[in-house]
Amino acid sequence: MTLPVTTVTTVNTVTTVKAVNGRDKLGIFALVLMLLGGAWLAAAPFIVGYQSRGGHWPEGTRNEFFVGVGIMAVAVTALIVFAANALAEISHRPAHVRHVDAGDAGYVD
Amino acid sequence: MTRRLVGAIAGGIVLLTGAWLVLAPFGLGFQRSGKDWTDETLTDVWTGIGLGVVGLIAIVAFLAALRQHLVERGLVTPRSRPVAEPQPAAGPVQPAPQQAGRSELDSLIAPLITAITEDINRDRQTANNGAAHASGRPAPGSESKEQSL
Repeated sequence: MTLPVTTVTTVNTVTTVKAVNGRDKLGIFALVLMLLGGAWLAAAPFIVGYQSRGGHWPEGTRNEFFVGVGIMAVAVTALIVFAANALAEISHRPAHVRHVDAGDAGYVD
Repeated sequence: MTRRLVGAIAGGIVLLTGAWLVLAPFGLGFQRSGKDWTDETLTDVWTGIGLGVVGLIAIVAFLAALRQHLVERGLVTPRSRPVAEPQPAAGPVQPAPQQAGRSELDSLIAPLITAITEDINRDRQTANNGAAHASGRPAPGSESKEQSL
């Protein structure tokens, strides 16, 4: 005699949030622009030509160079912190929901 | 959350630095007022304006991302636009203060209930994973069970 078989499926509900959303991407783009702007500012006296190589650096050249280097440092620091924090958040998630960060879906149920 | 705050702070620093770059030729004295702007001044001013705009964009983007993150986590409830309620057709309408109070209470405690439910689910998932790992079997809640009747 064969008894009917009933299948019961339990699905664990796990809600997750994307580590990097669209506005984050805009912010990262702005940070990259800051990095390029800082590099341009540091190199501008030599590229534009009002500062000769090997010559004495007047106050304007020093100001541009060190402000440019400072902006680059700020942008690089922010990018590193962002990447490290996002990767740490992804690595702490359960393995079966990590794929959400690589896909388009914002939620997994 | 931390990374977005750091990004917004970096944007603020660059915004202030851009403002300084615009003022630096006059503040440091290598551009005299009333005379044609030198190449150095032009570089400083236009780079400063560009960096200020980029810094402002970074601030707005990271704060918007932070708000979106908090909304997705259920920690912030977005404000809904007020919708014009249709006018009652005719006749007096009896108010239902008790029901209105209840719906307001429900909307207040809904994020709390959601957060508690997520915590319970997470704890249950962790316990299932730990038990499955200890016994070498898959977690009981993550696959189908068959019951013979």
